[in-house]
Amino acid sequence: MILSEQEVLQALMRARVRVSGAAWLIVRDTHAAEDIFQNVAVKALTRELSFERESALLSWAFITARREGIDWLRRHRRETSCLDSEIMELLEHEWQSESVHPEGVRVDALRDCLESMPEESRRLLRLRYFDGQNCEDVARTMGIGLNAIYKRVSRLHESLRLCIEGKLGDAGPDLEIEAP
Amino acid sequence: MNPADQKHERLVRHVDGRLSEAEADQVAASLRYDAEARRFLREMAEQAVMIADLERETQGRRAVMQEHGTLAPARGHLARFPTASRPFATVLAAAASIAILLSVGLLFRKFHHRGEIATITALDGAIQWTGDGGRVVRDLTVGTKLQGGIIEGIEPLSWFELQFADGTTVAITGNSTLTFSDLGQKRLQLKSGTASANVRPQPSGRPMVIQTTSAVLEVIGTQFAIETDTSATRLDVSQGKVRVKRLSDGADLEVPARHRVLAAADHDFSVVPFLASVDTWTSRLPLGPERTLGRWLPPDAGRDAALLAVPFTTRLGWTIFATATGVSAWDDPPVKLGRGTSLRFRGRLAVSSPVYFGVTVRDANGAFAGRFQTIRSAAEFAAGKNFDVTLPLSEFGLDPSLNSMANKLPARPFELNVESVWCHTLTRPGGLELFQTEVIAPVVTSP
Repeated sequence: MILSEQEVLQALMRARVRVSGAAWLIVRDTHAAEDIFQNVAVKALTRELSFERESALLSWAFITARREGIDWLRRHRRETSCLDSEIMELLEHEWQSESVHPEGVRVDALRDCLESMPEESRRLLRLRYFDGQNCEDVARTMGIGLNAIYKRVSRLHESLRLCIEGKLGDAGPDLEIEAP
Repeated sequence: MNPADQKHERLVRHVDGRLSEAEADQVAASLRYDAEARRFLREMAEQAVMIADLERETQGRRAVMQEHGTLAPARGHLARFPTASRPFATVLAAAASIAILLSVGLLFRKFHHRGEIATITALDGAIQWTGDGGRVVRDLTVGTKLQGGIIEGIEPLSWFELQFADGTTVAITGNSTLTFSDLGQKRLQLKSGTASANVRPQPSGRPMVIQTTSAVLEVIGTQFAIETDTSATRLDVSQGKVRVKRLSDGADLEVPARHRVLAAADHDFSVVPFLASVDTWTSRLPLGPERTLGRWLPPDAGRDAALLAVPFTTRLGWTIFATATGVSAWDDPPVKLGRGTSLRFRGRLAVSSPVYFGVTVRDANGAFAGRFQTIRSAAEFAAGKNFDVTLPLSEFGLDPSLNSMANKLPARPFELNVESVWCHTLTRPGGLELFQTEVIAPVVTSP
């Protein structure tokens, strides 16, 4: 049975962070990633496409987001150290196989975790991911060495993951299917 | 450093584009064969997106608060909306923005090659229209005929009115965004901001439909005003009836004349009558900057709370340094101006300068009814000294920037409801601070 518009929209909304995240890995700009997700949603509902299963929709959404991301890089003449398509496919496959908590719940958990962090850590993440500064600019803005920024960013992501999982009661990574 | 930390740090550097070719090859190999490395990268990407979402939400709320007070000299829609519940806020905002986006896309497809459906009948400030496959038109004037599309007020002073072929009018103020189409049924989407409408009777079975991010309104023929942001829609019906559906749960109800409703996921959804108007009002700056324009300075030892004027530039290129306070709010009764009303302003100027004092008003139907002002000379304001002026409303005249619309606006602000009160200096900063504003009722003399 063909998914209705409502079902398509609901499925895309459930996968929003994952699809946007995949786009972000291409463009490295969270605002562009959000735009790309919206373009994907518009295409899904306005291009007379039909999907029989959610998995088919998500597979199409990830591929479309990747193409949109590459187009965006061309239009903006940005050069990034892109991951090759084989790796992107692996990541997308894992993203599609994930059983995830509802997005609102995860965002709420992240919000709580961020609130429990020192302001300096929140500022670092804000500069990096909302203001779109690269790590060198973040280091300059915060008056910290570049290597220290790399260390902090990687540790912050890991501690946020543990914090979110703790709040959501996860025992560990939530893959249902083995990674290929 | 343990190997996992090293691996994660290398991935952060990779995303930052700071790896040598050899290091990049190592990362690629690791991502191919190491599920844990891929997990970290996916986690980093998702967190980046969610962190930006949260910051966008925070800034969006801040902007809504500021919009509702900020650009008050022109916009004036300063109702205080309750905040959507947290789980709802992000999802609803995203869903709503997509729904609007999709509808806009569909509308574009639909009105391609169609004729004009509305005419601009009033205009003040900068606006732009986007339609006809994405064409953007900025040189709009009264009398311009438009196909369906998106029309936006792009500065705080923007105000415009559209008239459809059947005589229905829709007026928008401030930084609002309206999508409109009429293919036998009028369909409007107010993404944000304030609109008022006077709707002629619509064809049977084809009511005018107005969609916001939190509600859908069906209108047969009536007068009403709406105000919306990402989480709530306020509707005030002055004539006729409007059917409202709250999108968060599908609940719907009918709002009769002289009643109002607030459609928000976290607010009681029920029809309440208009509140009776009052004739006095006092600002409450010590409580905070809500619904104000200006930089709020908290009370400090020996100093009152104050609003420091902030600059913005008008379409004509003038920079004004303004403070304003919204008066109209969901919880508070409307404040009506009488012939004997006075406005009192207490503040301070760092530099002696002429000061413009004004009020933005709406009529009983919620429609924008003008900005009225009076100017006091620099001689009245000594540098570095506090001032306390009480100005009879009879001294206030229509803001000259609205002169081209004078035939559509009242000559005086009497018997109208206050949207906001404001004051500003022109061209150069005068260090204007405002401590308190009052609307003082007419003095009743006993016979």
